[in-house]
Amino acid sequence: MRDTLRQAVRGSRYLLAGGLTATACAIALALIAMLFGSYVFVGVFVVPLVVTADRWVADWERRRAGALLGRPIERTYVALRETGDPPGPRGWPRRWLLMFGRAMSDPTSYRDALWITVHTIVGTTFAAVTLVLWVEVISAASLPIQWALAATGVRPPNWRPWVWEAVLAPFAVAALLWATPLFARGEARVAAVLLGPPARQRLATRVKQLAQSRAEALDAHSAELRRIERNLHDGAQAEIVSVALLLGVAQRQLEQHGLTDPATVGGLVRQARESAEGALVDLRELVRGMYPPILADRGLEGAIEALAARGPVPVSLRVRPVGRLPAALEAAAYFIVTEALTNVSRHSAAGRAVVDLKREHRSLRIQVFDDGVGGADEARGTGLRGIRGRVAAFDGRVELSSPPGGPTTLLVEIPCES
Amino acid sequence: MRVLIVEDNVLLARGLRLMINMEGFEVVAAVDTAEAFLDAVDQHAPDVAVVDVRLPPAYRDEGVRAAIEARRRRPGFPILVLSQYVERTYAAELFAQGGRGMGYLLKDRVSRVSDFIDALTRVAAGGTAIDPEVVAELLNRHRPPGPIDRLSPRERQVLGLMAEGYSNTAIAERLGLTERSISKNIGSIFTKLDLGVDDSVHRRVLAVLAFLGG
Repeated sequence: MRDTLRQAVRGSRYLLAGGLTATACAIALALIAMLFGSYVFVGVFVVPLVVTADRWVADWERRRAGALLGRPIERTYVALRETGDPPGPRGWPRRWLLMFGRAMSDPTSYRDALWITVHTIVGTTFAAVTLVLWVEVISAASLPIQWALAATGVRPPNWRPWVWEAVLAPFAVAALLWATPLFARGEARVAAVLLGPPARQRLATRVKQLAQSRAEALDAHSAELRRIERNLHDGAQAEIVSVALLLGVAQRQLEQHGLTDPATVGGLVRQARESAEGALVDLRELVRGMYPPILADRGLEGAIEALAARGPVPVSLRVRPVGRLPAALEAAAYFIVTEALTNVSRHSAAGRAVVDLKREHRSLRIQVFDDGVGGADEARGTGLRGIRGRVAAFDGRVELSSPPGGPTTLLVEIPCES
Repeated sequence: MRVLIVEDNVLLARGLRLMINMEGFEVVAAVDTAEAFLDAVDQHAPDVAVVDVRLPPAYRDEGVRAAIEARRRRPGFPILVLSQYVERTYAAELFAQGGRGMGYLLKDRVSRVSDFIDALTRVAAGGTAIDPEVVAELLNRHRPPGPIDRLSPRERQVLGLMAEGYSNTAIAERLGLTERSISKNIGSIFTKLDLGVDDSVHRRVLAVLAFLGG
């Protein structure tokens, strides 16, 4: 309930502020129309000013809309001023001309103009509606007072408007609670589309991002393969060769000397067995490093529960069921939590930690919080860098907040389709 | 027999030492780099050295380089080279200067203790030893139809064992035949392959290798 209220208030604020900018846009449009209507050549003079003002307003809108939508909106302006321009008071006319040329040739100026036109209408309308709704709600809230005043004879009763207000009040409230956040998001989305980079550019940026994260994923995969190869080669493989060798020697002993020296043969067989056991240990460690069996047995939630129970720092879990995820993602999430909790127990001197895991929108969200001393430095130690590497391979993002003195929060978001 | 071990894998070095000791031979030293190998040869003057192809720091072909260098300093110094995989180029390089006292075995072969000890003693005595798998690969790789196809299955078998470096006696023993029939087979092989007959084991290995490798 509180959340809904908060959303409604936030939405209303956004729409009302939008009304302000829309009014400003409307005034600007009117002024420009007047100017061009009377003195066309003044346009050359005025355009750089107008464009600069537009960019201020547009930037402010971008910030607002971006804050509401939770993602930044990119600005793609051609700079009006450049270092090569003729300097000083003498170069002023030429500078102005250059600015005019740049402003007119920047496609973003025209998209901004489109937005201004749209926003003038949309912004004022939504703001007006929001205002009316609030007025309605507030005056409806004051009804009981008016009735009381009427009852005591201080003011005359005014039935018709009161009945109307009482009837409309619930609708107004419902509209406020439901519609304002919706319309606010709508207005913000319009701003995002018209003020953000055009579709082709957005796609191009996205393609570049994906190419980058794919390259990182390949690198991570290759590094993993090399690690496994090295581990097997130097560990289990070497030990199994040893087993074969020792048994071969034992066999030769038996062939050549029979059972005349059981102690020697026994010693060889014992060494062979020890090597075999060593190989098993190495293999188990390797498997645990790739896809821990506990993940297969208990799923991600269960595996993290086991992790939390193991460490020296008490960990409280806020783990919501995430369903079945791709194995690579589960393993990565498990290792990220492992790494984070290891850092907590080793460097943070924390009294408690919290692991938060849930599936949100279309991503897996992991948050590890500790109340320790903070000051986590990514440059020292490879733990955090390893986490970033893993997450980058999945095209996710990592946010670390660890001011000296603490507390520390590590947030990881990895996209995953449902 | 005094043996020098050049192997960086601790487990394997230990195993080799054990195997060699159990055979009654002496391990004069066990080193793990190419430099130490060359120094140890000068220092201990062993009868034969067992050298891994891959040694630190780069783990590529330090062992092969060192073996060739050691043979340059002491021509004919017996070396048995151990390799993880069949690497035809290394085999070619090692046998380029003649195959006296040179061996090239796969590391997996060490568990076949009899074969390994056999190869070691053969090489130390100036003979040749080539891993059966190397020979098999040479024999079986894709080739345009040629003289090899004229050989009977038995002759191919004998050819393989010859290439591995076995003497007629050893081949006869392995195949359960008489030495005379082996000699006859070999004569037939050389005729069919148009190779000059040569009884000296290592020269005949070279001839066969050259034939197979070409």
